[in-house]
Amino acid sequence: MKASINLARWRVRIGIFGFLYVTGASAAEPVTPPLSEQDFLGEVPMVLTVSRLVQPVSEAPAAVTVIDRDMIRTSGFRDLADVFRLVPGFYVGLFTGNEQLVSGGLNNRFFGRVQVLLDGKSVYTPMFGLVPWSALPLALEDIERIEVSRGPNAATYGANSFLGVINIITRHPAQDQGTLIATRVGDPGLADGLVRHAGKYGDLDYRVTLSHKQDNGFELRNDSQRTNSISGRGDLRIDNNKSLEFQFGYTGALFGEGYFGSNDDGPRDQHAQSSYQQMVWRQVSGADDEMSVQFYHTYNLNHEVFTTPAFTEGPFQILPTVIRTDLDAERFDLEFQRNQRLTPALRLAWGLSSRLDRIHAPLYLGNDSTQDTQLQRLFLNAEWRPVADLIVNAGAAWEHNDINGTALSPRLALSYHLAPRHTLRAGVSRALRTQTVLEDIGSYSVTANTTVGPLVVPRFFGNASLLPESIVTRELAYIFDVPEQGFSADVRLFEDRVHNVIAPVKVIAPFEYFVFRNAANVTTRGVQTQVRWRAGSTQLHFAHAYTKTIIDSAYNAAVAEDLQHSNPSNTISLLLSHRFGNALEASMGYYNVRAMEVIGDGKPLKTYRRVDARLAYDFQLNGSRAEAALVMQNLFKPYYEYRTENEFDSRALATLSMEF
Amino acid sequence: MGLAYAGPQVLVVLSEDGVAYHEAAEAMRGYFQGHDATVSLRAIRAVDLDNSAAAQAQADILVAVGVRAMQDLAMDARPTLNILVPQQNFELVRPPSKRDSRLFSAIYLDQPIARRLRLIQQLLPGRQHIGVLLGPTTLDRSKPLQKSAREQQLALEVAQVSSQEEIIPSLNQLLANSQVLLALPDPLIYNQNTAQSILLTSYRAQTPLIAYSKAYVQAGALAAVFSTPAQIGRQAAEMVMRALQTKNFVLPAPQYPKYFSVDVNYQVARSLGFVLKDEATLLNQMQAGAERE
Repeated sequence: MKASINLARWRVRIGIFGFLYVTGASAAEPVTPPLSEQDFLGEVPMVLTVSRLVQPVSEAPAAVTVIDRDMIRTSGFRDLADVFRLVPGFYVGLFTGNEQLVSGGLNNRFFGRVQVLLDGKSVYTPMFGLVPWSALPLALEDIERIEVSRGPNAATYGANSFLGVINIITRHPAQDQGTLIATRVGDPGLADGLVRHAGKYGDLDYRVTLSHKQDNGFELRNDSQRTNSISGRGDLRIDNNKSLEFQFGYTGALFGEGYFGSNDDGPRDQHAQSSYQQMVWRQVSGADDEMSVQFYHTYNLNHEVFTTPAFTEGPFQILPTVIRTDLDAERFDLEFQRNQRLTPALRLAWGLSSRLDRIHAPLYLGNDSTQDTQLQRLFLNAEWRPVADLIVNAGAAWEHNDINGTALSPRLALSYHLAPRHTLRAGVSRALRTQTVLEDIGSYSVTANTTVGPLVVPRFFGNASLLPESIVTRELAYIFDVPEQGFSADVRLFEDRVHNVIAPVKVIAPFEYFVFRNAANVTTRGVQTQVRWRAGSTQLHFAHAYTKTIIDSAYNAAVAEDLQHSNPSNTISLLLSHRFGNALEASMGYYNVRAMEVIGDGKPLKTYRRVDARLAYDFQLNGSRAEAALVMQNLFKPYYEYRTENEFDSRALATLSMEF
Repeated sequence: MGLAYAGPQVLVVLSEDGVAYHEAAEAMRGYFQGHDATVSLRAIRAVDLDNSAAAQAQADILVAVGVRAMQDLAMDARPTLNILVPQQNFELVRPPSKRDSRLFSAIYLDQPIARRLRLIQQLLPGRQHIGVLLGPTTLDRSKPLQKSAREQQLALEVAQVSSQEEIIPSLNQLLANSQVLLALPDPLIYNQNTAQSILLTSYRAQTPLIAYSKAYVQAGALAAVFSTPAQIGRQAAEMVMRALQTKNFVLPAPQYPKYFSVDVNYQVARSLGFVLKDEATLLNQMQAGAERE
């Protein structure tokens, strides 16, 4: 019922956009001037600039997995977080149907150690270090590619680029002129719709995307979601060298939260909002000469009201108590960046940025004030080729923030082309993870009404004397690359030494509660392998990771055990697709994750294997390009995501899309 | 002005005041100074043609730089060499019967198609499927292009577009069957408004664009063979000198540029995973083959 109502509403919007498209097209039709010498001698806007070009895997200073549109499409995934199942060493877990975890090791629901950038905007939230994956105002259809750095990369991307960096790059609106309509229905109670229109107005290319998503989540969880998003991007060409890009996005969401049968964490609704505005001014003076100034603002709001039932807890009779959660997180960020070539052998990328994080969270901070955190950053990366076959990448970021003071994160990598197609890379890199606001100054208690008066039940407490987590990574990688055959493979051996791992430690006096402390030193060693092959109409992506987790020291056995089990020893993913002729495309994904237990509300999970399949058919509908696709997720046995209540049974999804 | 000595007089008429036009004129002047100081060169703008009757009257040979100057001089009876003009414009402007090429000749801005295909072969050996988008201006190029491609054992994929909206859909289909995209100058297809989407689309398909101008290489095309205004100016001076040595100032036949340059965007090449020869080596190999054109 809900689905049909929402789809009807989309239809109205399609009508409006259809009209705009028609009028736009007739007004914008220019008269083509005749050929002249200007066609040969005139200027052309700089398009493929340093910031747009993909760095070849064999020359990047870190291990990189590029997820492109073909991979996103053929994987059949509906949610953005799922695509990171394709990255070696990355773990994706569904805490609920509407809360996904994407992690690069020491997998934890909270306190993310992976930086996530959406067109340069950092989207992790400072309170818990989470990424609001389900609420991000971003449609998969608008993504050009995702570059995932495995391992720390703070020298380039700043603090929290600790166990990895996800860099999501959206498409330039000039690539998608026209209108796209897409719908999707399937399990569990899933009904999505999307309308996108992109066009041109003079020197402005623009795109607006509207989308709706809803589903019922796992059967045994209160985790349904209904989200409505709008996002837009405009690229204005000022002249052939200068451009202005602006973006905005807004999601309004209703998420199911809490556990069935729980007295103090029972089922309830969460109202969430996530929005951003961004502006980038860019000047390109040559292929290697670029300057940009970027400003963005992000805002996240989570609001819940939960009334407990009356229940008995130990000696206390708890009366119905209203627990109100309000969490506002806002970020302002200004950045200047410069890319330049100083000599034929030396390239630099440097810049500075300033950030303000503002949090208001009375429940978690124990007061009604607004907490501000400032951060200043300076970074410099140099790429030097002393001889043709050797590339030296050296960089460092200097960072100052209100929580930890000043720190330096350096990186050095040497890439040596042993022979054409064969590259050896050795690197060492250091990074910090700044503690989240909760870890630093959290004061999270709940005041319950009881028959003997109000009772303060403590839960989590920050610790202002914490040191940031630090990581030193050493890696050795071999890359075999045959671009003319569309083949590339890389094998990365690494050792991560993580110091001062922050963990909540249980205190029992008189109630059980948690205080954060630097509780462990952990070393992980492993091998990550990635193979990519495109042979005409067949494409293959393979990823394998072996991880060995060694607890060097831990505050207590519980902390050691949590960390030990947080990494699966092996993960495998495989994505294979083939195009039959012009119309038919078939693909298959295979995902295998060994036994593990995620820190932060996880449960011990057995090894699982999951097979997804997708079949898509392209056809013409009233002269427009259309595609119908059927996706089967987890074809075989059910498995558990994150917790044993989260049974992932076979799911079928059908999509229909049309471009005109 | 008022020089008593009456050596041959060359009048160079510039379509506009732009850098390219002056660069061509200066290259001619430099050549004459180095080879025959008796030749005097005078450069004026096309807009000033009406005010400089005296200078015009003295000129033995006219050199029109650019399309506008070519149009303005088309009816002049004296031998006229047109430079910095696309071949197509020259053929449209040339008065059919009145003049033979000895009186109205040209150095085209276009590179011979064989030369452009040879760049692809030198740059990307093994890439044999060449995609070409043709628009209203370039539609008639299809046949000579096919012929030239056959001679060099390349397979040509052609897609035609008649409006700007068709470019990206046609390009997407074309790229599915092409290993290289060869750009032919057509104002409907390649202009300031479309450069962005074409370059991004071909880059995403990992299909390099072989362009026809230096600016396109800077913008993100993989490479181009082209002639600079100075190179064309030098060739123009050589043609004028040859004409001056004949009795009635007979100009050589219209021709393609003799001197040319090759530019490669190595950033794009690296990103696409190509290991390419350096520009000097490419240019040498291209020049070695130029005699056969």
